[in-house]
Amino acid sequence: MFSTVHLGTFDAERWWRPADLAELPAVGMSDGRSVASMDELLAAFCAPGDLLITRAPMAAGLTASLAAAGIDFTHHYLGPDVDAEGDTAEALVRRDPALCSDLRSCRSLAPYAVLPDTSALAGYVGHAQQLPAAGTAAEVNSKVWSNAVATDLGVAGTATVVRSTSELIAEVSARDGAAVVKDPFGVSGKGMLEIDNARRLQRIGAALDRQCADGRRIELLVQDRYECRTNFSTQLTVGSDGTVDVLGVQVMRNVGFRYAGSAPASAGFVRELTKRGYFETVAAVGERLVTAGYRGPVGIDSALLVDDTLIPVFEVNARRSMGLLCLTLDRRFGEFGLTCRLVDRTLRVAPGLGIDDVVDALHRHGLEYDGGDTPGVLVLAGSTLSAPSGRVHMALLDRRDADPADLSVRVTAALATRGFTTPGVQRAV
Amino acid sequence: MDVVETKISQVLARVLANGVTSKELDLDADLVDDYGIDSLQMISLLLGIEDEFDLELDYESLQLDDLRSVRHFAKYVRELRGAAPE
Repeated sequence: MFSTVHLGTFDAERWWRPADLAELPAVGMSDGRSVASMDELLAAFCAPGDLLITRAPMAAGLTASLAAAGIDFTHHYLGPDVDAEGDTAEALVRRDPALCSDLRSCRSLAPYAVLPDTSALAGYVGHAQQLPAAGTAAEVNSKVWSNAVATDLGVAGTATVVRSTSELIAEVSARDGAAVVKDPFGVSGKGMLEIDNARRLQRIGAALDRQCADGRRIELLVQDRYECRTNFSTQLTVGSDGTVDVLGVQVMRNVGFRYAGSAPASAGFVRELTKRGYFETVAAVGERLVTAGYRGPVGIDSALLVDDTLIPVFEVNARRSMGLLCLTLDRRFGEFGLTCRLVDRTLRVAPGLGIDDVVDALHRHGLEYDGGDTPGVLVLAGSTLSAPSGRVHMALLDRRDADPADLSVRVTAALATRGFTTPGVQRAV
Repeated sequence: MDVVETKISQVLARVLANGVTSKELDLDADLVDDYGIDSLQMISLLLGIEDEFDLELDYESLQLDDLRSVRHFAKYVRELRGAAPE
C-alpha cells in the first residue's frame, strides 16, 4: 500500500480553459514532449513509500541521481508515447485497473492540479473528498477571478477585463504606453501579447472578430506593461478545514515573460514585504479561496516594480507550482545547511546525447549532488532531452552564504565539455 | 544581407533582447535551436514582422517548421509582398 500517489498534467490551464473563448494570435511550438515530461518534477515531492506516476519512462541516470540524493519512491510510467495530446495523465490512469487499485488503497492523492479528469479519477478511486471540485479549481485559476479579488482588495496592478473587440481597442488606446493583453488561462510564455502600436491592435482585433463570427466569445485582461525589479511568488496551502498556511516566498528569475528559475527570498526581502502589508493581502486572498471552496496548494505571483510599486496579486495558481517545488527542496536539504535554487535551462544537444549524459557530465566534474552537506546539482527532469535541443530542470544546492553565480558557472562549464550549450549567442557571427 | 533580411534581423534582435545586435545574427542560424527562441518570442517576432512590413499573417496556416531562420522568414516575406495587390 502506498502512502501518497503523485501524478499530474502540467498543461493544466489548457484543460481549465473554456473551449468557446477566442484566442490571441499564437504559434504552435513543438514543446509538447518537454511539457508532458515535466511530471518528472513531482519526484521532488515524494517521500519513501510514495508512488510517482509519470507519462513516460524516466531516464535511469535521473532516477539513480535522485536516489543518491535521498529521494526514494516507487515509479510507474504510463507508456512510451508522451506526445499523446488527447489525454490527461489522469484519464490514462483511469483506464489502468491495476493502477486504480493502487490509488484506492493509498492514503492520499497528490495531483499537480485538479482538472475535470482529476476529479473523475479521484471519485472513481474513493478520494474525491480530499480534493476541491474541478470547476472551483478552474474558476480560481482564471486571471479574471484573481483580478476581481485584487480589484476588490484595492491593491495596485489590476487589469481591466474586456469582452469585445471595441472594448479591447478602447482600453488599449486609452493607455499612454504599451499594454499587455492576457488570456484568462495563459501561462508563462503563452496567452500574452504586448501591444505598442495601433496597427498591431487593429490586426489583433480583426483576428478576434473572425473568431467571434464563428461563435466564440472574448474575455481578455488588459494591463500596463510593468518594469519589474523583482518577480516573486508566495506559496500557501488551504487546508480542508479552511485554514490558510503561508509556507514561504520564492524570488523568480524570468526571461521576458518566461519563467527561468526560483530561489528562496532573502530574510530582508520578506521583512520589507511584511513592513508593506503584503502578507495581509496574501491572507485576504487565502480567505477568498476558502470562500470559493478551494483547498490545496496555491502560489500567488507578485512583483516589485522598478518604481518601488508593490503588485501583490499578478495571478493565482491554485495548484502545485515551481515555487512550491523550490520551497520543498529548500526545506528538504536545509537540514544539511544547503539552500535550493531551481534552474530551467534550454540546451543545445548533439545527436545521440541525452539527460544521462548531462548527469554524467556533472558527476565527472564533481558537481552531482549525492546527499549530505556537500553542495552540488540535482537534475530533476529532462528524460526527453534529445538533439537538437531541449529543456532540463535542475536544483542547484549550495551553502546559504555562497555566491549563487559560482555553481551556475561551473555547471555551464561542465555541460559544455560534453557539447551541451545554451542557445543564444553561440552562432552569432 | 538585403533590406528584408536586415529588417527581420533588427526585429529578431529586439525580441531576443540578449545584447546581440542585428549585425551579429547569423542569417542561417536556427531560431529555436541556436537562439533558443520560445513561443512568446516567436509570436513577438511575427507581430514585429507584421509591423515592419505592414503585413497580416495567417497564424493558423503558418508552417513554422519551414520558418526556422532569418533567411527563411525573408523568403516568406518577399513571397507575401510579391503576392500582395499593388
